[in-house]
Amino acid sequence: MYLRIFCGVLCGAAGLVLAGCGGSAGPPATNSRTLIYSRGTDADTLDPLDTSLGETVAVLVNLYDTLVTYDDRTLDLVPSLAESWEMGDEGRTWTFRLRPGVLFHDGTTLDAEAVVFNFRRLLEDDFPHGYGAQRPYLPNFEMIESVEAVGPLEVRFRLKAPSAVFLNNLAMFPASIVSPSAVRTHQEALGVNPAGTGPFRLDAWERDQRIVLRAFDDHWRGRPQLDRVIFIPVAENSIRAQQLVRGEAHITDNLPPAELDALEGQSGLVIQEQQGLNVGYLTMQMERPPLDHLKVRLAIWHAIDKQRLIDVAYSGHGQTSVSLVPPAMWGHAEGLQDRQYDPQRSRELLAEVAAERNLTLPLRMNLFFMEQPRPYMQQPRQIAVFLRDALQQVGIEVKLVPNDYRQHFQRLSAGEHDLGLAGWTTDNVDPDNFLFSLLDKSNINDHGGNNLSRYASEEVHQLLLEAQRETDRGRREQLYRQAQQRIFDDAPIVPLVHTDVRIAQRAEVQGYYLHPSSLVRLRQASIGSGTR
Amino acid sequence: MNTSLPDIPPAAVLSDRPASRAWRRFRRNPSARAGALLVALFCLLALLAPWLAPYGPNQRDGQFQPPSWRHWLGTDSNEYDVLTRVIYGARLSLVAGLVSISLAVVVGAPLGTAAGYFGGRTDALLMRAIDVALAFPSILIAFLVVTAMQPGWAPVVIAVALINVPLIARQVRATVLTTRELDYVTASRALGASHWHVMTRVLAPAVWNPLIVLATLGLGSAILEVAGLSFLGFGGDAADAEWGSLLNEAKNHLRTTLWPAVGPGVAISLTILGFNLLGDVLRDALDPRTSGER
Repeated sequence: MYLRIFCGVLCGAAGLVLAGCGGSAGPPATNSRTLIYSRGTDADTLDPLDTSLGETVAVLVNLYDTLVTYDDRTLDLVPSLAESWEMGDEGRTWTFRLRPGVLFHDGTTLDAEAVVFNFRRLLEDDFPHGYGAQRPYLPNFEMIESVEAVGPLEVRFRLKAPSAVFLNNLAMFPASIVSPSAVRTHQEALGVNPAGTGPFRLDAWERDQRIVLRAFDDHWRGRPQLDRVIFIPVAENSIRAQQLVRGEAHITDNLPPAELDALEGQSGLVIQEQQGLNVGYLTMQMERPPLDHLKVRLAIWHAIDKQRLIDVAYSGHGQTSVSLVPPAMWGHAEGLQDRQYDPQRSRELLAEVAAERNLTLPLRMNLFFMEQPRPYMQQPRQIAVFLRDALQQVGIEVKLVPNDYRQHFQRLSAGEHDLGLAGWTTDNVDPDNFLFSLLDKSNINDHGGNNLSRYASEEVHQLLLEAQRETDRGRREQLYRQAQQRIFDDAPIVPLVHTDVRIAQRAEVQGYYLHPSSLVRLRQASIGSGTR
Repeated sequence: MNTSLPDIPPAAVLSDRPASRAWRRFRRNPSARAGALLVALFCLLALLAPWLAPYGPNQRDGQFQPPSWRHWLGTDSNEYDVLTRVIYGARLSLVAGLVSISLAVVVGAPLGTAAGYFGGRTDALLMRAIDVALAFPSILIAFLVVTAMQPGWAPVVIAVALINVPLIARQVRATVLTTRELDYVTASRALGASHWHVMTRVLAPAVWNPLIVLATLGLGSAILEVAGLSFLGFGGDAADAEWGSLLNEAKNHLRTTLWPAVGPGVAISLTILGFNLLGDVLRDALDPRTSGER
């Protein structure tokens, strides 16, 4: 009879306030030095080599350190586990000097062998301690030829060719340094038994309930201010907002813009905003007819009124996108003119294709979307419905397929979709991280490959490889512009939006700064007693 | 010559027939009228949706517009007119409720009849199975069905039908148990009627009335169950106009916008109220034991 009871509630909620509140339990008992961070989903694994999920990264950056990292405020690279480094052989060798006396959470000490172990685990297919990690970021590190320990605290990387992105990529989370003894001990279970050198260590993880981190007393930068950090997954945007208002959470992210507008100016709350280095886009699986036909992809492009989409699904907080690289970043395709919203043109294109290929209109396609909010799509369902209506107007019948975000991206990687919602937030603020990761042909594979459209352009591949080897910024910019022009012409995706990142937090949270990289670095956060 | 006969008003002539007696009782009851009116209203909305709805079901006209003359119930997060969506929603909700209850009757009534008529082992077996089914929370059964199949309207309808089968089977069995001992049934068996004949011809009329009442009452809760499951996201296409999924969509914005939830919420409540009133009155009207007039 639970259904009846539930239905009674539904009926009572008939219009009003009840419907949403049932789901989440209150927060666990907390003291004033526990910070609760509420977000749309849980992490998938805490092995840095086995994920590409933003919610996981938010935890990883607090558990692990990398050799180099970003400055606390800016995107400049600063020393982290490496104290210093030097480049030799015209950019082909890089020697890093490690910080002495750094401890892992499991009590072992960081040394050059540990770093070599981690990079071999990342790079080598048959490394005995890989334990099934999918390594979706491997292509970002393939410029590395070898890694060796040249002293107890000295590591030398040899590159296949000089690379402009190498140092940047070392700041990315897949290059996190994990305790080798923890990897050997826990093997496949490393994902739930992480041991890094970061300011926090894992205390408990109840899947889809909460992740509890505890301060690591022996952290090399000194113990963090907070005792504990609790990450809780709450998919419903309105409940996350309510938790914040009621003081059940201290920070929450990925709220829909309309919700944030409503929270803005409420006493006791602070909204932090950063220009987002992200993109939300529609992937079109090019191996599945009729999407292999350029005209079909162009028809879809012309059918979408991006500005209206942003008004509806982002309350206007965002800018229309022409290419993957956001305008706030260098390497953006300046001067690239977007295709007009022109449903009539779409219909003509589809009619031509239908005649050419003997197809009957309307075409039928599925559209995969994720059920949980992402930084670049806080309301994926709204976007999906919008696109369905837009495409219906021009002669494409779309079936919506909602998926849990974990399955969603797995299925997109495997190419099961026709159309799919996707997006990206940069890990290293380099155009390479957008273009190479998302559209290079070496990133097509069934297990976590990020080229979801399966766009296999040789020309773009060559341009991107050349840009990786080139060290001159101006020349690289030129190459990326060429690549983006080519991508624009081939239309493997429809770029939709670049959106600002805004988080809402309680005013008593101090020292937490929304970093331009959107990395959630909680080391310096603390909780004050009063409100500002 | 005819004048010797007393002048009999037509209603009195008809009053000898049970159906007309029921109808008369029904008509005089104000809550019956209210119930019938509500049910008729929503059936009408469902049937005539394309003509009654002010807009197309997927026509976009600005997001979160408050109620106005252009949009009586406002517009929702997808820019749809709420009134239009509620009217179109009546189709899916009513049809899904109706189909699932019919399915439940088609499966449940024969089971109940067989159990009650044959008694003994058949009865024990069937009734224990039904007891087991009733022991599970109905939402769990629904979850199992929907998970086993892909989410969509068909599994939702099947799930709701399955939830209602035991209720109907039990009621029918109870009626058959009391009826089969009556003299006219015994007589027909003594005359050599086959089991089939007895069940379908002799017992069926007795089962019919309570079944109608039960189905009418069940229809209300079936609509609620369908809405509940689609509220939880087990329905078909996320963009289909259905009351439960409308509420689901509306709840995401409750903190900032209220009106998209009001329309479907009120529609669900009124429909169920309608079927419940109707069902209650039907029970009184069709029960041969309450033959008095009020």
